Amino acid sequence: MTKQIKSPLSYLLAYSLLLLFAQPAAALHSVMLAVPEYPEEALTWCGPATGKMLMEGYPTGSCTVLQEDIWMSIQANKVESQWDTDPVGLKEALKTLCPPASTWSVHSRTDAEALMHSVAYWMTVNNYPAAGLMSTAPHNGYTAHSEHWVAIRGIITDDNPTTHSSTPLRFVWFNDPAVDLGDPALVRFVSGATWYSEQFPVSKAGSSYIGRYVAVIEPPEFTGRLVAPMQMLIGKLITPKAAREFAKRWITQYKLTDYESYQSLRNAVQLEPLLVNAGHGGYYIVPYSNDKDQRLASSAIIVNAYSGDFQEVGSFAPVSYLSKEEAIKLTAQQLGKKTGNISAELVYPQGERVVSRYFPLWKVTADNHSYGVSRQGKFMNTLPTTEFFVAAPGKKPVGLAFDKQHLWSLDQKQKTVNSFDPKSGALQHSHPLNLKDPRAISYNGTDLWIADQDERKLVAINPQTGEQRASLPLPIPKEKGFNSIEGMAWDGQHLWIAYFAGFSSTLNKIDPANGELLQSVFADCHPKGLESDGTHLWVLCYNGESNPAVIDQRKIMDKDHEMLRTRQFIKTIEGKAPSGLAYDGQYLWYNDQQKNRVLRVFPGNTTRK
Amino acid sequence: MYTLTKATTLILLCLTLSLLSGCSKYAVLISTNEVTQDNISYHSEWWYDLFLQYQALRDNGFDDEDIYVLYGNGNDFNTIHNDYNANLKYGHTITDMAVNKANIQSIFNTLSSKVGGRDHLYVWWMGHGGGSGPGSCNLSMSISNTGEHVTDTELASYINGISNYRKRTVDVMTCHSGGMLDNMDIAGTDTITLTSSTCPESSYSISTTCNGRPHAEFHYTIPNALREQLPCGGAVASDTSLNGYVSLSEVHNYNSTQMSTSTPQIADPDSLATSTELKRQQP
Repeated sequence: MTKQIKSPLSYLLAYSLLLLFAQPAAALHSVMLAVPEYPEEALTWCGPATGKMLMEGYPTGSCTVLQEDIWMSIQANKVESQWDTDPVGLKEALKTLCPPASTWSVHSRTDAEALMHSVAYWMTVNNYPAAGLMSTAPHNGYTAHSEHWVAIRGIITDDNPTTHSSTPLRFVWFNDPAVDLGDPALVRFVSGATWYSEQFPVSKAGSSYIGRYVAVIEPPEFTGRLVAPMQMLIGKLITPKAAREFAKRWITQYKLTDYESYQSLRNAVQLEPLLVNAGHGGYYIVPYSNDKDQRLASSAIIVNAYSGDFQEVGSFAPVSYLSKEEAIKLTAQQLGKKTGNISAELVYPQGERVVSRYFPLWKVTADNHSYGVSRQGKFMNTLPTTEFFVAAPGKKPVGLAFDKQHLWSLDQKQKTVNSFDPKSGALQHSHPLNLKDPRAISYNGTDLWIADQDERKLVAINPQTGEQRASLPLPIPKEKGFNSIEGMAWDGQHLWIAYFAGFSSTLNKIDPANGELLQSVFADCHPKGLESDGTHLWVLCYNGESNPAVIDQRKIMDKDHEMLRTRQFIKTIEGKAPSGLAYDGQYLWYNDQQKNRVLRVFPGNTTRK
Repeated sequence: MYTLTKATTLILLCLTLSLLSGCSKYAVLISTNEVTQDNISYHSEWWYDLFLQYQALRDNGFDDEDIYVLYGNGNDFNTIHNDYNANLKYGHTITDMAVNKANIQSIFNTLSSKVGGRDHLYVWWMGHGGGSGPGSCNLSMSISNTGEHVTDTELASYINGISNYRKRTVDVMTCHSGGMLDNMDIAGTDTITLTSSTCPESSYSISTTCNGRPHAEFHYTIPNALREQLPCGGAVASDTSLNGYVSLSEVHNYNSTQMSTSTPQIADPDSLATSTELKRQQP
């Protein structure tokens, strides 16, 4: 067991955790460093704040530098102008303003687990904290700023990363400077699974890091991976009472009050738990108050909403949470409506991360429209995008397919087909198409099938080379009519193609060997995308400008009316001009032509009780 | 005093006779699907359009007991929109029976003994349609929830099973619904047929309605014209003759000027549309 701990309090925490995992078969390794926490002093200064924390966290020769000076140094050294703080700018600022014993360097990997192994390796070797890039999505309520740096100060793994190339990542301890201006930084202690769920590769258009996870650390001499156990993303929700009990258990079991940042938990009172993202990726915030009126929370335990598993603990400036009733009342006042038909739920947006996990938004729905209300009571006429998204390649995405590794987007305007990384949007391949009006795409395990509306034909192309392998005439159900091609899917044996023709819009099963039309069922919607998992068909149904589009699901059956009876509406989506649908085995993806994005939604239902 | 009593009795007798021999207005509303979700285009219309048509007929003097509604599994859709909820609006549900081929035939059989020579019969159909044959004019209408089909010939046969009537209105909203016209366009049958499209055309939903809810365009404009108002209450100038009544030719003219997605059709072999005003006691 390796222990590299700088402060007595840190030692206590690490020791507690090590005891917890001190099973005969599982020795633990930890690095826990004393790094003071600082919030960003301007809305775009999470980079300088992280730099300041790192420089004050050196094992020897630490420096105290103003964020303003770090900002100036970053600007002088950065090489990619689309960043407020780019990796090179931060690295050079650290080297220039507070030279370390050896050096700082930028690490970027396409694999988050490999990057975290590098972080753990370096922290073990040299006891320096590291700068980690959480994502390049907007955060902190300021959408123009789209990168999120944090100071990693602690890491707990099953094995010593300097001697093990692969070992489970148990916990990450870091200072998060992205808080409301004037509030202290969040000190977050999170499970490995929670860390990975929050860490995303660079998605900034034009960046050389696109598709890569980034940290500023020292070069490791050893490569490996830190894996984390999967966390439950769906399931039956535990009750708020159970969430309270789990929070108590984790405080005791992990001895969290031994740690300076969370000592206040010792005398704190639990407040009512808050359920966030109930449908998918749900969690409970269990706030704790040291306020004599028991109104203000100053720390919180976050537990998985389905399993109660520990996700993280954080402390922050005392805040009051807005109640559901207050959010509804505020919205009703804004809209000049009665509160009766208004509903509300807490969401932590995965797309536009304008708030922290600790301070989610109230998504308030009235008359089929969703509004946002922040913890501080700020009303948002448009809810930030809650669905995770990446930028769509091309000019006019009309179709989407998944090839087991990457998404493929069909660009109607440029007549190209482009594959990209679903986590970052990084372009992988691009093939020009010798087609006049490509409208839909699907992947059958070996080939990409593409439907051309102008020539009414189907072509199969090699995804590696773009070479055309087959061509078939597009069959149209004569008695039902045809206006346009709106989607294509592969069910394992057959192609399905969606046609729009008003009330005669259809989903058509086609034999890929000869193009024969085998079945044609009414879509009962305005199809804009089609996908299958082999058992079901999913249709993206457009509902005009007044009502949000939805995804429906029906079981593939021989008899049309029996198939129709299995139809369920499973997801309301946020995109205003949706098109295309692809399934990656867990999530459904669709294009939004209005914002040129590819968005991700979870198709399943959650059992609520 | 004796004379006065006799006269009063005579007047009452005449009134009673007049009522007994007066006309009724019957309607059969057939919506061939089942809605499970609000605000879905090409889905929710099966209830929304049905409700608007029922409302229009009631506003035009049709009694509830003379309106036969076949829809879904036989139960009203429990919509979130209170103003499209029959229970809230009328204090009762409006669906009489599930929609299937046997029930459709049955309802026309029932009406054949009820509808009399002074009565008006209004037949309304909403659903999917396929067009085949010359000009795509052979219409086959789907009953989506059962997988059954009713051809234009079959529907005409069901309707013609009611032999006693004064006038008939047949109103069909399906793709290729123009295929119904040749089956009903027969002089001497006193029938006015309105369809949402020509034989080769599809029919479409719109969501640019006053309340943002999806409606088949044709089955949005017809009830609006008949009620002379939108579902949200705005006035509709369908009574262009300004006589206080909306004729079926005014309905068709209103459809023609308002609709943009398909071409509404009318067959009026006996030139009755101009004088057929549903709101009148005897249209």
